[in-house]
Amino acid sequence: MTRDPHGGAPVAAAGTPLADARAVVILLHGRGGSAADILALGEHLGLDGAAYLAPQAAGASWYPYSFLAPAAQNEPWLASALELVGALVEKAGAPERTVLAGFSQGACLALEFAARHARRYGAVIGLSGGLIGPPGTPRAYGGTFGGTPCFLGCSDVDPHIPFSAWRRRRRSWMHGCLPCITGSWRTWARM
Amino acid sequence: MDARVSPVHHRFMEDMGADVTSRIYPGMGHTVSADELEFMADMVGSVG
Repeated sequence: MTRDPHGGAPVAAAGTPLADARAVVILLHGRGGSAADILALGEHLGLDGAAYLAPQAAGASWYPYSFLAPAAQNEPWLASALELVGALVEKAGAPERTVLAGFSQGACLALEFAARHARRYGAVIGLSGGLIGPPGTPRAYGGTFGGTPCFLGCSDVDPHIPFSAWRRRRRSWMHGCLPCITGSWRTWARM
Repeated sequence: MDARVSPVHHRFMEDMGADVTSRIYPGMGHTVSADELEFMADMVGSVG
């Protein structure tokens, strides 16, 4: 197994050429998805002056286990994926005009990268995803987003996210309600 | 938004200095909604 499974991943692009763009949107697809799928979402936004970059995960997955699995189980895929996102952020240029966005497993990756490298980004957008790691994961990442606009969207009945139970029980899912959640570990594992 | 009904990690991102908006879509399932796309377009539109 290679230590950098996502190294040299193909990156699909759409919209305004990078050099002329006022905003660069890095779009991260979900497990089993593709760069083309998520790029279509970007094209749907169809904004003048926006460049869209969508990397393709090796084997269509950024990491093999659930986002709630012990982080070490997802190595070296997770580190490799974070490194790839880092390279794209660098390529995009000014962080304040760079948008990190993803769906599902891609949302998890976007949020996790942003948290580990907090600064003023153009925006951070997580659609149906959360930070990576099991409940209780220490997250003393340091840094600040400095007012970065952040959007988190999610369904209340997502089999991949222990959210409906979290809401019903009026307590943080990070504090131990995992065992009582609807849906199985297997379905969550898709993120 | 009421922290009890915001998506996971809303407060974490806020504590790190992000200006967080979170929305819950009843019954949507694991997909992307038109409202999310609209919100995303607004956000990307105000960058740069």
